[in-house]
Amino acid sequence: MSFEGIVCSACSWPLPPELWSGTEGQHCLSCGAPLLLTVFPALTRPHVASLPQPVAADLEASCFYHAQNRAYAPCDECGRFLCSLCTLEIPGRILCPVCFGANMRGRKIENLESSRTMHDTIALSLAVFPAFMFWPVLITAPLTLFWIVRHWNSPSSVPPRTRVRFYLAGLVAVCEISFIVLLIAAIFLVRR
Amino acid sequence: MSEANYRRLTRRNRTWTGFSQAWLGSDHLLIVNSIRFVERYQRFALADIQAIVVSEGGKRAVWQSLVVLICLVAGFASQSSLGRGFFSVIGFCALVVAILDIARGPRCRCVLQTAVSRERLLPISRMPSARAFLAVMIPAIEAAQGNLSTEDLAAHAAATPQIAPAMLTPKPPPLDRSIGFTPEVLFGLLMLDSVLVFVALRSSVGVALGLLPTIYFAEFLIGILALVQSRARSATSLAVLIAAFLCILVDPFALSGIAAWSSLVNAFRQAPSVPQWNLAIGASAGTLLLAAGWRATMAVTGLTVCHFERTARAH
Repeated sequence: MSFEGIVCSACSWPLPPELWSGTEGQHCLSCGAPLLLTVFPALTRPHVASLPQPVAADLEASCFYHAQNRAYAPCDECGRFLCSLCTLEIPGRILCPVCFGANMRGRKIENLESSRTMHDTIALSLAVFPAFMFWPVLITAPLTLFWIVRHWNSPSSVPPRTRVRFYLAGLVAVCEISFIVLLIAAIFLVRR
Repeated sequence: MSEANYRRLTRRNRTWTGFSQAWLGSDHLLIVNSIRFVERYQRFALADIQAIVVSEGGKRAVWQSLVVLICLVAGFASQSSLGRGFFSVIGFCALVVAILDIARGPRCRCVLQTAVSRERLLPISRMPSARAFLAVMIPAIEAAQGNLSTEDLAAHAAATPQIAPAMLTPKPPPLDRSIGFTPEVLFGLLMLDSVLVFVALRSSVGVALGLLPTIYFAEFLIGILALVQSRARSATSLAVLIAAFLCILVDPFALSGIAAWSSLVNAFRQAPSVPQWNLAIGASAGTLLLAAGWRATMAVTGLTVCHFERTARAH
């Protein structure tokens, strides 16, 4: 799938090349919305796909997955020879599809991660929200502490993020546990 | 795309379910879409970005000003202090929201285009933030791709099929949206409620206390639903719908609600420990006729307008 030309972001109407200059004060010809359009050299770059070359002689190394294709590069993980079709380039490394898939499943390629769980937000929610109903705190406060210890070193957000939510969740959970202990002690003393 | 220090490009654009934010990496743009407990990431290599299109639009301040106006009018029209207080609070909140909305600048839609995708950038929803975003992004992308010369652009434009305004193909016919039956349900409910309000205001405090809150809640809820689903409706039925909803808002604070409220207060004053639920509601004949009458009138008018709208659509 490739896109030719540029369209209005409001109505998806194709914008004629006269509007590509990027000057302010231009409007979409269809919906009339004021536009702020910036075009970059990648638009004029031709799309070139590299096709695998066939093996010319018997002595030439061939691709592990396509015996008829000439080897282009080895996989940095398993060392198998790969044709240009099987080569997956990630920053600083070349991987075959199998190693790439294994790395993705194991979340070893950080730059390709598409989602992450925010354990600090979960811990904070676990500490704060049940407190409004009081009794669930008996379970959720210790669970919060367990969650903090369990996920202290788990990867957090990709952009910079502090551990302040973990600290807050821990503080709230400790306060809740202290309160419960004091309450039980007070009940015990009053009954005696 | 190497892991590097990220530079924050936008503030968090918060929604009910989370937020979205843009970050600039060493060689890519990172869009973070958060749903509270999970963050999802989209990366765009700076070398692959073909264009960024920002279009201004969506002036919600008009609607907010309208809400403020309605609340002011309803507040002044209201006879009770409860009604004035209610509309004052709603109107003040709407005023604050409108002022904040205006202060944040015009809304916009930003789309980032690569060779294989067009992605809407949710973090950029206001023109000032879009300008600040472009001020950082344009130099970063030009550093990765170089500058686009006028000659290259002209050559590419020449190769792209020209789209002159006169040659633009006509827009496709609008989709025939289903108009739904929620307004009809509302008007039917108003018809039923005209009888129930009449009964409630003619009977005792206990009956009124059981009936009226349910009536008000049902009318308000279905009124909101009908307004939300009225985009495809004609101007006439929309006008009747808005008029009916205004009456629904005003009635508890200025008409039937006030009549029942004074009787309820009397019942509690006479015997605070055991309220006299059998005390009759002292609603005047005028109040009774008005409270039941506007409901019946709106119901008949609304159902008639909806019927004609459906007939016109069918033809």
